[in-house]
Amino acid sequence: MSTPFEAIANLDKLIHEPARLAILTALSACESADFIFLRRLTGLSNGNLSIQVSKLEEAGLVTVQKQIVNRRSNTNISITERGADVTRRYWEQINALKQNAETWKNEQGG
Amino acid sequence: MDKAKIQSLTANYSRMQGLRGIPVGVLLFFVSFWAISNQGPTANLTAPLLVTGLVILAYGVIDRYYKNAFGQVRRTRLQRVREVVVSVLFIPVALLAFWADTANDWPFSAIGLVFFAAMVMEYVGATSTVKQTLFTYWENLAAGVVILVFSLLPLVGISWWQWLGVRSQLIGVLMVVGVVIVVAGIISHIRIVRALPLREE
Repeated sequence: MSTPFEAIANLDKLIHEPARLAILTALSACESADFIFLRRLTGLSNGNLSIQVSKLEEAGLVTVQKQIVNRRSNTNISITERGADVTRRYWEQINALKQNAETWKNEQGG
Repeated sequence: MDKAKIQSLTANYSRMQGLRGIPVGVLLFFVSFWAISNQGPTANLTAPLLVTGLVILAYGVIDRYYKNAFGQVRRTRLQRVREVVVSVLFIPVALLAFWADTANDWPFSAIGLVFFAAMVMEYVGATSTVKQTLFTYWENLAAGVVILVFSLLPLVGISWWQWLGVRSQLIGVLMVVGVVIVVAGIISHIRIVRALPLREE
């Protein structure tokens, strides 16, 4: 069994970033969410959120649809099947990490 | 990072838009109040029709407010289907209960029980997405319990609507439902404002 530190080091760096993780976690609970909702959820600025979403889109974890609704630009983001799978596995790794950390701590006599 | 909180917030986003309930609650309360003040077949319907129009307008304004201020979330297909099924079932059951209350002199309110069931289903729906404590989204459960109590008080001989100067149990219950919907809606809205704060760029 790897130590918790090794397990943390093995986490997907693309997912293991608070803003991107929050985006993927939210999108895994719905069919799609728009830019405004994700901005409110993450607290990021427009520019920063765009960057994070772009990174996820480049990695094939989300899809982005832009529309004009009532003369306003509306951006909807959806998680892909791969994105949902990666997110689910990430959280499984985190849960396993928490359990292993307790075991490791007890083994160390702490 | 609280995974459960994020997923619950997203999955229940439409439920948390509590201001939507205010026009509905106001309409219920107003129509009940109007029914007390107007009796007989020649009652003037201008006021209730006008209020209904204002309520529809208010609902549209509130809808636009949430979309512009907080954004939009499209629920999963399963969630949407579930909501449609529940809504489709609720309307005929509510109408049947309303008719039953007007046609019978029961020591309880059938329409009140239907609203209680609806509130409990809302609560169960909200808390089923992720594991939550009993007091998560408590306002729907509390609203349901209040409606249930007022619906069943006549069973123990308490004609509480008469204390309010209301002539029928049905009207009294609808007024209570209206008030409860408004209060629960305000609490839900406060929840969403706290969960999705506006942060300066």
